[in-house]
Amino acid sequence: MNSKELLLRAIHNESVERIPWVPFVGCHAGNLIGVTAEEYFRNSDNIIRGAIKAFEEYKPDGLPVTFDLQVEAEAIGCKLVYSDKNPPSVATHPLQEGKSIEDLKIPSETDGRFPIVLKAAKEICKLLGDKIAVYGLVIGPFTLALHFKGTDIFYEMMDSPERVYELMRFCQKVSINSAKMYIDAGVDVVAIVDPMTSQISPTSFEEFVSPYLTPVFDYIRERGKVCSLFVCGNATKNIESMCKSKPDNISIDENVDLAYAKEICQRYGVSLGGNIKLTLTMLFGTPLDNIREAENLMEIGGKKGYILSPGCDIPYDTPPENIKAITSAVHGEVGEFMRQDIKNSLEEIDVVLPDYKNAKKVIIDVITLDSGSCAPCQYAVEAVKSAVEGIEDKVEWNEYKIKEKESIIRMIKLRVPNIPTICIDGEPVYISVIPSVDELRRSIETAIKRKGI
Amino acid sequence: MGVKVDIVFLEEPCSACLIIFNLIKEIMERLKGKYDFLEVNYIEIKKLEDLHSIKGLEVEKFPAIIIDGEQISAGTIPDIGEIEKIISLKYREALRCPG
Repeated sequence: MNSKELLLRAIHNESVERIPWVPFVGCHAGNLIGVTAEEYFRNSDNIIRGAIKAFEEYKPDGLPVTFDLQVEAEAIGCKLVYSDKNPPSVATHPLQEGKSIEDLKIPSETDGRFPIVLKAAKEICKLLGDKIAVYGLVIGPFTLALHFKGTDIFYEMMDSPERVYELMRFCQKVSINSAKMYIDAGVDVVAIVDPMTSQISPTSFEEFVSPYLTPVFDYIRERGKVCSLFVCGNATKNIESMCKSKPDNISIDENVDLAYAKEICQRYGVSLGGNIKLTLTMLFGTPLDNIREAENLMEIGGKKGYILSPGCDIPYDTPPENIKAITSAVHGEVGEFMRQDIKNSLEEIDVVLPDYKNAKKVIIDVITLDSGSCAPCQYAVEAVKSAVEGIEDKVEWNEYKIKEKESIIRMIKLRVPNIPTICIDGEPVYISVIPSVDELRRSIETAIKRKGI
Repeated sequence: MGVKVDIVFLEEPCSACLIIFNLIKEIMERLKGKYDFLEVNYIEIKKLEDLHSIKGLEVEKFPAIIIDGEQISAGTIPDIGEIEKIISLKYREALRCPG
């Protein structure tokens, strides 16, 4: 099964052998290819080069064509301000400036930057579409309505709901039309990105958003494609309403507890994506922070209906090493990643492994990130602690945390590919798998017998 | 004598935070036009250490609004009516206890 098949299975809420990974690379792709965010967003060749670079560097199972929530708004008449390191910002709201809904026109392939984005989408699908799932990102109706109307929309929702319904009907048509253009370009997944829905209550969501979202999802499914709903911000209160709007998948950010969202999504048969912290972990954290967070999230998300992804689009200056660290956790290559990370200091540190064969006890090495902060690592250590109860005189065990260089050297020498790993007498036995206490106990007893202790 | 509003925002926010930040800026510009005693400062976070020097910041979600040292929002679009109420209250307090 290739990456694309893996992702499509997970997004359809099926069980998979490995959790798929979709880094939401938008303006960060500009950094990857050495251009500003503005140069990236305004040029289809740069968008294509950025996607290819991200594919090569981050080994994803899916990638967005780009991540720009302003394409539709600009094509319809909002003025944008471009920036070197961020996506463009909407600077004007036509409906606050005297225009009416009748003045707004649904954009076609030739309006605004659609020619740039659609050309990029077609080319990326051609180059990568047989390997990974390509996402087309469409602005959601509510966020688009906010672009047109500014914060006045919150008052109209109370004072003149009919006017909001009318605007939402227009925005729904825009979303469907953008979905159509992306599907015609060849994308596999259409994600409706509606982050501003996190700013309203479930009651408002069901009144002002769901009736306009569901037909968009219906259209995408009718065309044989997968639909996803992305939100950012604290959407905890709206997760159930989001599921009821019938997307195939939802994607959340760090403000929502993944375990909580997972439980609700599974109740509705909706798959879930998320929610690596963008700023604290990806932008400002270390590679180890990123490995730890990926491991913890994958532990919670599980192998059924879960996709590992950032909470929203990756910041421009995010160190590529941090994203590669996540890739290594996804692909079970933390050992190799850490070896590359410290290769310059490999010669300075020496670690002498015990003489496992002749040692008077069975030696168990538990290679972790840190059992104090990495949930799967904690379970591995707890399994060992329980399994050796009553036989401590025959077994010696130690935890080696790879946040220490000596432990990385040990990990490399033991040929441990990923964390957590439990080694018995120098052999990696449980790699990224937490055995039951009984199973582990049996393995240890076998080793004891083998040594004649 | 006035009311000081600090808007704390990330140098590199995600798309959603950027939209919220721009909407907050618009709200503040409107309020500045209405209340001449309002002083609005924009504080950009470029690195984590920058957070330590921000008086009144308790919830590290952005954009955050701090009015006279008291945080009133974190990562959300505030209700303009609520902001006006808080500003008026702070202004009255400032008049009662100048300095």
